[in-house]
Amino acid sequence: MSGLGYYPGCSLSGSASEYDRSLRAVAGQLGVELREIPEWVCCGATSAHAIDHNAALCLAADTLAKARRAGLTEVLAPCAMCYQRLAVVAHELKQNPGIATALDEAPGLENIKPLSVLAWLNNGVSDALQAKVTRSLTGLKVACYYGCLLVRPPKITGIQQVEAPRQMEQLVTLLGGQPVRWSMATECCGASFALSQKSTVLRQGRQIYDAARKVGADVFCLACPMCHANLDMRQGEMGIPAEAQLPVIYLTQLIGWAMGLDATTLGLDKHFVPTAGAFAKEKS
Amino acid sequence: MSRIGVFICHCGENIGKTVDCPRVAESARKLPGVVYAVDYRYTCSEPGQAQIRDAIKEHKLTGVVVGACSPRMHEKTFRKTCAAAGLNPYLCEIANLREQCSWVHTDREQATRKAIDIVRSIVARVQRNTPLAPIRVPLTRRALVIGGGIAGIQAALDIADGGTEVILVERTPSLGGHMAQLSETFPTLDCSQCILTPRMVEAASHPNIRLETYSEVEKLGGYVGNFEVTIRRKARSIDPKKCTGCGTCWQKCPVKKLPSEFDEGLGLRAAIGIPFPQAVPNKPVIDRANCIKFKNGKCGACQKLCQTGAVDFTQEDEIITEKVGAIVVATGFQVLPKDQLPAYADGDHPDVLTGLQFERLASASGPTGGEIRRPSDGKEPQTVVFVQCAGSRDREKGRAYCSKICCMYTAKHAMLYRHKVHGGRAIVLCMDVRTPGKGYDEFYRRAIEQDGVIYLRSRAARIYRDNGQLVVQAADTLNGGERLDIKADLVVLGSAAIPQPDVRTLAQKLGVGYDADGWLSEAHPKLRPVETNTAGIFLAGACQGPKDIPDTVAQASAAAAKTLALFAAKELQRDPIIARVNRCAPPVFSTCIGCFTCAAACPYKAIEREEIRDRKGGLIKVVARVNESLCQGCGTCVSLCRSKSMDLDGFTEEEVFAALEALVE
Amino acid sequence: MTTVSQTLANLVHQRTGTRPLDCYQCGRCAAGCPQNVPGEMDISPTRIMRLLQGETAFPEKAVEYARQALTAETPWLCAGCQACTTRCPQGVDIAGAMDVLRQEGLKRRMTATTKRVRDIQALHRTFLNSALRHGRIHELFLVIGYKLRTGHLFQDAALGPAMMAKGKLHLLPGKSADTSRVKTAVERLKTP
Ligand SMILES: Cc1cc2nc3c(=O)[nH]c(=O)nc-3n(C[C@H](O)[C@H](O)[C@H](O)COP(=O)(O)OP(=O)(O)OC[C@H]3O[C@@H](n4cnc5c(N)ncnc54)[C@H](O)[C@@H]3O)c2cc1C
Ligand code: SF4
Ligand code: SF4
Repeated sequence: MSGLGYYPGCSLSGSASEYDRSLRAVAGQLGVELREIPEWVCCGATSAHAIDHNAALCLAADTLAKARRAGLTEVLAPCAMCYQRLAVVAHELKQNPGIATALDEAPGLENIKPLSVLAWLNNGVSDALQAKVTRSLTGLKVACYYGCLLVRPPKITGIQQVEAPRQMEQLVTLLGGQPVRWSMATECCGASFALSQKSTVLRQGRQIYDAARKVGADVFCLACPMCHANLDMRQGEMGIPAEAQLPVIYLTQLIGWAMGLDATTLGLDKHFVPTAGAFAKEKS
Repeated sequence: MSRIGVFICHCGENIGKTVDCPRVAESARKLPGVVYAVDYRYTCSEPGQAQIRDAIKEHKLTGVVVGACSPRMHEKTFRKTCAAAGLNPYLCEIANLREQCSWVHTDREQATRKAIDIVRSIVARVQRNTPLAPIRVPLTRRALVIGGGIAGIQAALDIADGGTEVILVERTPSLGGHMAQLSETFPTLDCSQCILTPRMVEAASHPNIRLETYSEVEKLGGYVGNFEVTIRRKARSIDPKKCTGCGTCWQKCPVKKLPSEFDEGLGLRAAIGIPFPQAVPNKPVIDRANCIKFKNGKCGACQKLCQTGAVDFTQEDEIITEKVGAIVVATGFQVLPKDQLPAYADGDHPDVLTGLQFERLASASGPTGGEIRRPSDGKEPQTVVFVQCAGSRDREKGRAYCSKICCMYTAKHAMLYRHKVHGGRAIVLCMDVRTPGKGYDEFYRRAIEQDGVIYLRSRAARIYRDNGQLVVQAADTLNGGERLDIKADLVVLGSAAIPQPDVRTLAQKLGVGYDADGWLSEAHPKLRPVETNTAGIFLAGACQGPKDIPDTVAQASAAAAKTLALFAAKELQRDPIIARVNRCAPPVFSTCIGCFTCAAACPYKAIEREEIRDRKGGLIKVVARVNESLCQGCGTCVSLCRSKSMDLDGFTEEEVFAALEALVE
Repeated sequence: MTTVSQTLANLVHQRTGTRPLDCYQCGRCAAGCPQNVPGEMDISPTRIMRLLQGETAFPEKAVEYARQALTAETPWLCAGCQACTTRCPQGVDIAGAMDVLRQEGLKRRMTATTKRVRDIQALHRTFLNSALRHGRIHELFLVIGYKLRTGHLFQDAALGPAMMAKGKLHLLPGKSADTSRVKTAVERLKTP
């Protein structure tokens, strides 16, 4: 069993608990032992880097330090926001040794490698994953939604195909699903304004919904708790009638389903837009 | 005792600003062997050279040191000056005070001290220099032109008109290059085919030009005046002597749906055929990768139907070697493939066209007969967005350079579109429009003022498909950056010009330089724009950098003039910087022990075996000998020779060590 | 050490390693910015870059240009999505510059003062305080804290109970984590 550092972050410990549950279930199936970083702290999200440069650096660096202390070298951060913050700060640590010093940490913190859920699934375990697929998603048209932070900026994430990424599509195809080609895959949903600037969230959300709908998608697949919250909880507010709403499913839920795990284990019952319809269609 | 003269040049401010030239001259004057030293603002000017000539005569100089720019720049100049005053030119040496001193330092005191050291070192060297005589080499008066675009055609015609034989090698089945694909040409809008095809025919029928189409240069040996080139004639699968170009074969070939390279994938072609109707020569080629006969042995329709029995499936590549005296490289450019611009509709949308694709669409001989209809559904586009700098001036994800031709061809495209689709909207996204050429700015203004083309100062952030509708994300930077999302029926990219993808391989074969982007390097950006750093090899056209047709043709004629000038000499002279195996009195004859390590190492195969025999013909010993006409003076053998029997004229061990020892004083 | 006399452009250079001066005003950042639309940003990211260039180029107007950049709503309405930074052909980190403008605006007490900008600032403050105090964010407390700060007591009132019903919002705080090291480090970085 391989031990992989795990950084659930605040969302997965709260409103995005189904992401956490499904991810742990999938990891279990794959035989990957997730070792949660003891005493991890919040990544600071948008707010920290928006108003306090140093706090943004120290929060993420502290978590990396705690990972190192626990003997971890790679940290899986499923939340796109957490991932991006860890990656940015790991990058920053290379240039600015003062951060580690301020935390009374020995140098070398930058060697702790943050992993996005895409990097983990695509590079690390895709073969094992294929072997575990028991239920095909045949016929399910999936709009893979990356949002902004999973791939950008390329200098930090190391993803070359930043305009037309295909990692999520590859995984969905592997599960037997049918990824659609659509226009909003990497557009921002406005997540950081969920509470403070609702017009942004509703406008962006609606555009994302329309684009997916137009190309005939059955569901959204994503890997970011903020995107999930905006798209799953607000379709009604966006003026979309219940029967036209699209289920918003975490990548790990989709994988878990294909592995034959049941809906409750995966937290599929926790969504605002019901998910059962999508999976029913695929069964018939 | 030697009598050395030292001449320190200020090079305007280039050297004078960082190096105290009078002080350098003064310190040189005190060196042993130096009888004369001065500094001057521009030593390379006529008065500067006169100073050297006069000093040689007046002070009976036996050696000259010029402290100036790099020897690559003016060594020839100053050696000629010395020769004019009766001093053997190889007794003149350059102390590089510019590239190796003033340009790389800022501290005046330190730079001056370094300059003094450099001069001292070169003075010590010159004292050991021996007079040398240039080597005379014979010359083959015959030129090779590589690339049959407008550059290659023009260069070949000019050289041939000058009375010299030319071999014109083109790797595709026909002459023409990109110009053959163009619809109409800026700034006059004359039809490209109409001005090009007569030239193609002229080249093919010129008594001094031999065409080698569907051929490539495999290897190059030799040196200026005496190159030996190996050419691969690829198998056409057609006997050109028998073929009449009647066209039966390509009409009857059952494989008809291959994307045509000439039409940039917008039209179709058969597995046998000529690339376009006006091709020169008018002889088809079989595309073996797609021919059924070559795939599974069946078919053979063309062979059965050919009236003259010209089809030959068994033909093989042919390798020929030719001797030539000079080479013109005219291998042109490519445009950036759209899949390298993923932000623009994922780089694979049929209605997002490269600039070249639009040329085919607008061309009367193109797949739509010149009607503007979009590839996806054949409809006439009502809004066309032209996106300039597609891949150019983008140091992060594209090419940092400006492709130079796109501003003009985009204006042309927008204009042609407005001429053909009257109610249509033509919107050009640009940063700034660059029109440095005769009649160019007028042409661009005409697009706006007479033809109603709309120019929007913006770079496109992204182009996406919104359920079949193309949307171009733009912003009006002249209006505070207001966002404009433009719905387009067709998008035409001002695709960056890029070097031929395999140009580096060719450049290495020929021994010519290229820059970081892959454009072939000229010897000097201002003063030697058509020469390369390899003597006898010249550049023409877009292989050296993006160029329009007028510039291409001008450069091609310049390369032809250079070639003819080279051929005007009776024989060539070259610097006698060659290796030499020592000779001494019998019974030793030479300290060479005949191990031939040098022969194995010499990159030019210049080492021969020499048998030393006694009077009766009995073999005394075998030693190495250097073939003067092959040796390039690289010195590899000198450094490897175990018995220290090898030395390099002009760079003898004695000269080099004297220079070094003077430095460590 | 950052002082008020330092130009914003220099600060951007220090923090992001990229220079606003390199911007050639192509407009690509403005063209792809989701917030550069009517009703949102008041001036475009491209124009922000131009202001930072003006600040360096025309010292006699530097104060004015800096004020315009800092008091624009734009930095606060930036979503931090990095579309601009990702696409800038000149490699300028525009999103990073927006961070600098927000942070400097607060420091110099020179920001836009519209209602929505104050809301956004309030959320960021509530969030960061909470993160630094408890080590982790408890979403319910965050929402309550934000609403108390802004007085938006009834916005999204329907979502809360619905979220609780789905088990997405918990009444009791979850685990918190120790942040004493972080807080010390932040203080240390502040005083050079
Ligand atoms: C979309 C577009 C529109 C344009 N419109 C205009 C216009 O309106 N007016 C204008 O003045 N200019 C225009 N130009 C520019 C014009 O095309 C070029 O100036 C011209 O084609 C350059 O000619 P060339 O011979 O140097 O290169 P090319 O045309 O590229 O020809 C090079 C030739 O060399 C051959 N070759 C390459 N490598 C080898 C090799 N290793 N061995 C043998 N052969 C080789 C190629 O097959 C080709 O035939 C336009 C360019 C583009 C892209
Ligand atoms: S994309 Fe870059 S170069 Fe273009 S306007 Fe924005 S900051 Fe300037
Ligand atoms: S990071 Fe900010 S400025 Fe840049 S594109 Fe996104 S919202 Fe616009």
